Amino acid sequence: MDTFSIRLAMLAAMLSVAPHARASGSEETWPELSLGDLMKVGVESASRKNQSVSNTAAAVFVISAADIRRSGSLSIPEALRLAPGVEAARLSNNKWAVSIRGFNGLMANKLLVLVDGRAIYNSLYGGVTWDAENMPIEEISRIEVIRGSAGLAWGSNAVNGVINIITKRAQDTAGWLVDSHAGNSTGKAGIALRYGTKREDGSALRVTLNEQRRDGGKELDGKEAQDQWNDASLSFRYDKPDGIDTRIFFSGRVFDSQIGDPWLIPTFDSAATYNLAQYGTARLVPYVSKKNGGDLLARLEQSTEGGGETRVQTYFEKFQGTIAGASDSHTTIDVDAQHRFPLGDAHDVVWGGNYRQTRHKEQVGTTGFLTSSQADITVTLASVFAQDEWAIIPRRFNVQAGVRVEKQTFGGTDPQPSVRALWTPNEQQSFWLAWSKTARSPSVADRTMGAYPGAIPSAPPMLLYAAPGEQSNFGNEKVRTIEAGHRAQWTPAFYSDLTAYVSKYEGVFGVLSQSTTTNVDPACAAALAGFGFTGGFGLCTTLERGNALPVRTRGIELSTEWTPLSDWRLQINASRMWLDGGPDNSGIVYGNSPSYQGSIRSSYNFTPDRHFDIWLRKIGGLSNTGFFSGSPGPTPIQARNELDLRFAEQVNESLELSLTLQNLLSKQQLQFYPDYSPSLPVVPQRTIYLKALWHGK
Amino acid sequence: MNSVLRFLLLLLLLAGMSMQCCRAELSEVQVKSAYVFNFIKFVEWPDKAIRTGDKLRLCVIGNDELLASLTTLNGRKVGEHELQVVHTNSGTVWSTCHVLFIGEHEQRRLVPIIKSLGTAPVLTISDIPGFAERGGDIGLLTRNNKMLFEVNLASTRQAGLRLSSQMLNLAANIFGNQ
Repeated sequence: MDTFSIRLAMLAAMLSVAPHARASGSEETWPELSLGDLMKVGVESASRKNQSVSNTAAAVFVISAADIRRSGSLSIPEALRLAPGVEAARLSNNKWAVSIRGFNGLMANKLLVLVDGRAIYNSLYGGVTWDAENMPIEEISRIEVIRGSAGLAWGSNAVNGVINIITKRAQDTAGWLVDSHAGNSTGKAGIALRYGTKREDGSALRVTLNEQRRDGGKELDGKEAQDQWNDASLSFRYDKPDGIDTRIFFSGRVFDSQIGDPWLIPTFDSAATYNLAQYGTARLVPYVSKKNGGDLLARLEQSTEGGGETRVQTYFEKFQGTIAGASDSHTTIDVDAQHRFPLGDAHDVVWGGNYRQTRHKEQVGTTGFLTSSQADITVTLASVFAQDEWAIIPRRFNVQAGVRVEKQTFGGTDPQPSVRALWTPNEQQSFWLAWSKTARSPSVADRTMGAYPGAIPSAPPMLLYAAPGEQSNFGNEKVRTIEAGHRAQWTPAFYSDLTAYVSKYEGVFGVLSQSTTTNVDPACAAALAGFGFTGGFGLCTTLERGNALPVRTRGIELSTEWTPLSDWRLQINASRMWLDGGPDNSGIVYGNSPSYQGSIRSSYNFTPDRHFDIWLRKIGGLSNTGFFSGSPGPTPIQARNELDLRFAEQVNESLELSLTLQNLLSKQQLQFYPDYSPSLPVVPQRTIYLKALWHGK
Repeated sequence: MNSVLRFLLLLLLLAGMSMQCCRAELSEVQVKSAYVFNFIKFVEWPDKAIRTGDKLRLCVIGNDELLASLTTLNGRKVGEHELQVVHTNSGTVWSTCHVLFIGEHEQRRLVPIIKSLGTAPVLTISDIPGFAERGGDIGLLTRNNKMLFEVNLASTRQAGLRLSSQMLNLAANIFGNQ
């Protein structure tokens, strides 16, 4: 470091340890404060969110509404980076690859994401279509990130974790709210308009209109990319507590989203202007994808005389998406019921069941890139579970065990058991240990859809085809996980949460074998012609896919919270993962996740109304060279640093203005390569936007 | 990386230089303790629950820090009664308390505890989310970094308790008011 930096460091160190003026006697005078006074005192909610997870024998991290607001996140994937161990890579200005503990991909399917109890994954491929799930960020009360296999509590698909997005109660969002921003790139423009009312009987309703626009980014060679995103949604939430025993909840949403989704279509002929290294050549087609749909959710909770609680929930969802003449439309109906009751003094039992039916109508369109063996499919999922928590030593040591049995149309019936233990020697710390098994059932795309990922103009030219899983009778993927963790509030100012895990996967969807035919086979000749090769001798290689090699992951995840000064809070997270498993024949499964990630977030209050946040992240590189490299020669994705800044001022009681700068350290590099999708990877740009948040009465 | 380091050092410098004068700083535990103390002042118990000369028993479970903070109030007068902070153990019968604070470490047992109290004249207070909606009397919640409270009148009515209108006017939400 140069002398200027050294001097700056010394000055900073001296001043930061200087004592700060404190109003004296506050410790003794709190009993004299009136109710009116107490309602005006500022309280940071950090410690309470840590306390709420301290009793859980699982790797949980809670992202609070305050964290989300101060991080300057405009979308859910951005906000998820606040949790340790969550990978969120931006593929373009409207696409994210989000996963936990490995297996990331645009179609990452090992994560279950819920909004107020409704699964928001696209059952076509078992992942989340983030551009169809935009929601007004101010509506989120908290996001619970549960890492690890959580099949018992949440069902299959919760193989690597669960993300539970919980919105604010309607009672807490009464009055008007206008949340608007303007800037460039992903912060181009947006407005959320919300109105909530409370009634005499304690019930409340809110309605929100949300609209956002984002500009496109740049391709690797600096060209403007057509990956813009416009979306609008209208949603409502109704909460009615009835007496002391009953709570009713309704929510609903309709949305419309349009994204630019340029596809790299494999091509042999002269139209091919993109070189995808080992995956051949392709032409770029700037498609526009349109998605729309809606959902309605109803829930009833009741306390029973014996001290138990029942919960019944049902939702209906309709989705339609089109691109390149292909369309994916499905309707889902889901019913879920749970009953919790105390058994004696020491046991707490929960049992229940879930039924979900999704009707799919798929059309593969005209590009020839995708194939589908069945246009209309109905997928049914039914499961039952039971779990007991036994407080062997009340408040000190408890053990939890249970099992879920699930049957889905394409998968076998694999029981998903889980055993956990929690030791709380005192209120300041806890230790936990867990063993669990979760299964993931094949999605519609896994089983029935194939794709042509490469047209390689070698001599002779070769066309690659990834075959659908049903050809090898692809069934459930399974994972067994052992985890251990420790949480401690070491001092009132320092909290840490450490988790270690080992997971063994069996039958992960991947390439089993390859077989090659030549154009003598008429099917091969037709396929070659479809991609622009008609000149004679050519090869077609089919990648058979199914339950492939086993994989093992091991890792540690750490999150800490440190409040060195009463106005300054630091959140430091880190995670490291080791992945053992030979490369499958496509190299995709095993190379898509960084082996390490770290983040430091500093939240500083100059005054209670003036906030300054710095968020620095470091993400390791990816070894996967991808199906689509986008440039000559395979180049792995480099490690990257990301820096966001946010300045905010509470101008008066109703209005907060803020300026956010994102991705300040960006070099012109990609964050991710798409897996089996042909989407063009785009370089994320620096973003700067101004936001005005206004609360009315 | 050098420019990033400079950013962080600048922040440290600014932290040292900030003006922090004259703001009362209270911890979350102190605010909750103050709330509990205030609620007791605004609640009326039925005559059979507490007679002249009786001590007003305040019990806390599931939050040792809050219990320690409230213990400093032991012996104080609230209206005509002297406050007695009770250190509960597994043998304590909660219906002998006049006030019961249920902390987050008892979150699992929340509904069984409420149900076991039945119509006993016990004022139940908690910071567990959704407490008031699930049959608790007074729930503490945080909104925009301020701590507020909500009340379930059906619960207080069942326990025979009366809350002053002064207090109800300040409640963020009122449930069970049919």
